[in-house]
This record gives sequence, structure tokens and C-alpha cells, in this order.
Amino acid sequence: MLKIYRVLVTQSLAETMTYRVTTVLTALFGVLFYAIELITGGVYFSFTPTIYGWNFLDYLNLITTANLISYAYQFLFVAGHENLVDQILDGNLDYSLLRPVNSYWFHACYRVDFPSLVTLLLTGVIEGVILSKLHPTPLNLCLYLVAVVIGIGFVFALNQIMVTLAFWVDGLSALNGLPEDLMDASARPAKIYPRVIQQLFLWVIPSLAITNVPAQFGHNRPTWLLLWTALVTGVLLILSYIEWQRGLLKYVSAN
Amino acid sequence: MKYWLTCQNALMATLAYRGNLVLHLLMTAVNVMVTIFMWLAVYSFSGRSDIAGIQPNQMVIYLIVVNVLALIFSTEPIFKFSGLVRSGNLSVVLMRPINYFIQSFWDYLGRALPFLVIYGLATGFISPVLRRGLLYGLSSLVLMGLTYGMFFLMITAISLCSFWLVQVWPLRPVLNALFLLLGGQAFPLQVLPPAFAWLIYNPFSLAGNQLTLLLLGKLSLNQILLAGGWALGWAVVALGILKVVWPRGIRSYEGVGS
Repeated sequence: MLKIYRVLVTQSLAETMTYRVTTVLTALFGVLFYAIELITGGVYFSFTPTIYGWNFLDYLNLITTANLISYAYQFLFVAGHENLVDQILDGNLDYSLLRPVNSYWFHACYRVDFPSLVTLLLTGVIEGVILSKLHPTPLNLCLYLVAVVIGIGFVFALNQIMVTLAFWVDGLSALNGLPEDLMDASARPAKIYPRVIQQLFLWVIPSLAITNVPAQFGHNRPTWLLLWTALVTGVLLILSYIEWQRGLLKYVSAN
Repeated sequence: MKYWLTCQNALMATLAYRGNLVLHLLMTAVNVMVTIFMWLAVYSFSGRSDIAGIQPNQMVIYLIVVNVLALIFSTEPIFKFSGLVRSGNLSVVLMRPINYFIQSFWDYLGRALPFLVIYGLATGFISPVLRRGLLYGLSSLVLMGLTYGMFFLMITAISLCSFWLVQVWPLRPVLNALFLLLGGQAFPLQVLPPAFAWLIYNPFSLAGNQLTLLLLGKLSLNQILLAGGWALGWAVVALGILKVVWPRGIRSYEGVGS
């Protein structure tokens, strides 16, 4: 499996090198939108030093962590997911279904998006600087990293569930953008929302927990919500796997 | 009449994919709610009831309206024109007994019609604009019309770069970012330090920030005239660019697609 993944990564790199201008532009736009978030955050905190106990550095930690999770998902899975919708709708899965590999993981890892690696590394460096100022304890730092990995798993599972819906739903392309919009909306301190919204997105669809939990570990405010996010992410991954298998039963190899 | 049909078709195209439209509007609403809750928290923790002359309830309306305006002032004509040039189908359009720019304007209008109706209703029912006398009301309507025309001309002028660029998709995120920052979609430009005051007369701000403040009744008659003057100026610049660049573009256009 690792050998196949290495080949897929090599192919992705070759494609990236072919479309160099696209790569540079995609990386630039990632930086541009991150910069807009920074400026907007700067505007908010120019009127007040803290919001619900979060100062500007805590806020930066939150939005940078949220971006880190998004860019890591994009780097590892987004190209595979974009490709998968077309493959399902065009009836082109036969070829991969014939291979002696797990088709779920083969399609999920089909391509790596190298332009996102640039923004991922940049965000990683900025987050490193922020964490060095926040001084999390070694244990909290480890749990921060665990929470980020769980976050990537959560975003992957949400997207995988939406993309696999293509087996049943055709033409509702806006569905594929839902997880991204949901994660964008979740890159804010949970407490700014009314209690009902907080409960909904901390416990039922814990997108707020996915961004807030690692940020809290970053500034030494550990929370048991980490266990809940791990559990929900595990359940979503299993659901997405079951959905994939059901989808394959529905699949007909004709577009 | 032939252009009115274009407008109707464009409206039907917007309403045809209802699922996508509803989801798109839903996510726009979610993004607006996020910004609203953030600003309400800023008001609450700063202990201020007024930021840059805008009260919390006005900020809520500001953020909703500026996002509706972001839907009205779409940049779609750029990508449509690029598609025509790249496929070579512009030749077919040029042979038709129509003016491409007028048709494009009606198409632009038709696509934005549902959002224009929302903005119109908000102006009629929420805004004090029409209750401040005939001169103020008329000036406001002229500013709205001028800004709408100016933005369309700007976008059309930008679309002409399709004659020389194979791919124009990178413009989409750039223009979205410009509307977010310079258009006052992320925050009202008035909250910036006075050194940035000149930013409010850029085309994106006239379309987003100024038309929203107009609806809130925050612009004086003088400010309306000034904004109108700037809109007219930008429209003249865009028209000038169109006049100069279009003939050159047509000369370089091969009409065979790429």
C-alpha cells in the first residue's frame, strides 16, 4: 500500500511541475486569504483587548490552527476528492475497482495537492511561532498535535461523505463546498455563538470543537472535548466507509 | 425586446438550479451570521455602543446588505467572456445582430435580479432613503444606478484581458478578496484609521461599502454627490479602456478557439 502511495505522490509531483504557474498562483491565493483573516482579526482586536477571554494571540492561534487543519486536508485529500466526483459521475470507477487495492483508500489518496503544501508549511511555521509565545506544556503540545490530526480526520470524513453522495445525487455541486464553509464558520471562538448553536456544533456536528479544542490545548486550557471529537471522527470515518460500500452497490459503469 | 429575453433567460438560469442556489444562499447566510456574532462580541467587550458611527443593530444590517451586494456585483461576465474567446464562440456572438455589451448587461441584470429585488425591498422598507425628501431619494437612486453601471463596465473592461490570457480563473479569488477587503464586506472601511479614508472611493467600496451606508441612511447629500462623482469617473475610465482595448483585442482574436 505504501509503495502504491509513493507512486501516486510521484505522479502528483510530476503534474504539479507541469502546471507551475497554477501551483504558484494557488499557493499565493492561500496566503492572500490567510492574510485577510489576519487583518480582519486585527480590526476586531483593535477595539477590545479580549473577547470571551481570548486575546489577539489566542485568536491568531485559533485561526492559524483552523487553517492548518484545512490546508493539511487539502494537501492530502482534496485533489483525490475532486477527482472522485467526476469518476463516479462519468462511470470511470471500473478500472480502480478491478485493482487488488482497497478502492476507498485508493481514491481518497489518489492525488496529493502540492500547491497546498506551500501554504501548509507557511501556516505551520507561523503556528510554531505562535505556540512558542503561548508556551504550552509538553503534554498539552502533544495533545494539540493529536487534536490537529483528529481535525484532519474529521474534515476528511465530512468531505468523503459529501463526495460519495455523488452515487445518489447528481448536479448538486454546492454540496461539496459545505464542509469547507462549515469549517470556515467554525474558525471562531465557540463562545461568540448563542448557546444552542454552540451545543449543536460542539457536540452534534463538532466542527467548532475541532477548531477550538487544539487552540485551547495550545494556550494551556486542556479539555475533555478532545475525546468526544476523536469518537465522532471515528464514527464518521466508519459511516463514510459504509456509505462507500453502499454506493458501490448502486454504481453502474455508465455515465 | 431581444435584450429583455436575454434578461429573462438569465433569471431562469439563476432559478433553474434551485438546490445549488438555496445551498449557496444558506452558506452565505452562515458566513454573515459568523461575522455578525463576532462584531456583536466586539461591541460587547469593547463597551462601546458605536464603532465608526455604526451602532450594533446597524452593523447587523450593514453586514447582511453588503453580502447581498456582493451577490449582486458578481464578476461572472469575465469568465463568460473568457469562455467565448477560448472556445472561439465569440465569432458567432459577433455575427448576431446585437450589441454584445448590451446583451451582456441584460444578462448581468437578469442573473442578479432576485438579489436586486431584496436590495430594493430593503431600501423601500428598512432604509430612511426614500423618506428624506425627493432630492435625497432621487440622488440615492441615481447613485445606485451609476454604481451598478460603473461596476458592470469595470468588470467588462477587465474581461478584455481574455484576448491575451489563456486562463483567467486566477482573477476570481483575487476579485473576491478585493471585494472582501476593499469592498467593505469583511468589515466597514470606516473602522480603519483615518490614513485609509481615501480607500472608500475605490470601485469595490462604492459598490459594497457606500451603497450599504446609503441604505442605512449614513450618507449625507454631499457624500452621495461625491460618491456619484467617483462612480461616474470610474465609469468613464472603464469606458475609455473598453474603447481602446476592444479593437486591439478583436485584432488579436483568431476565432478558432484554443
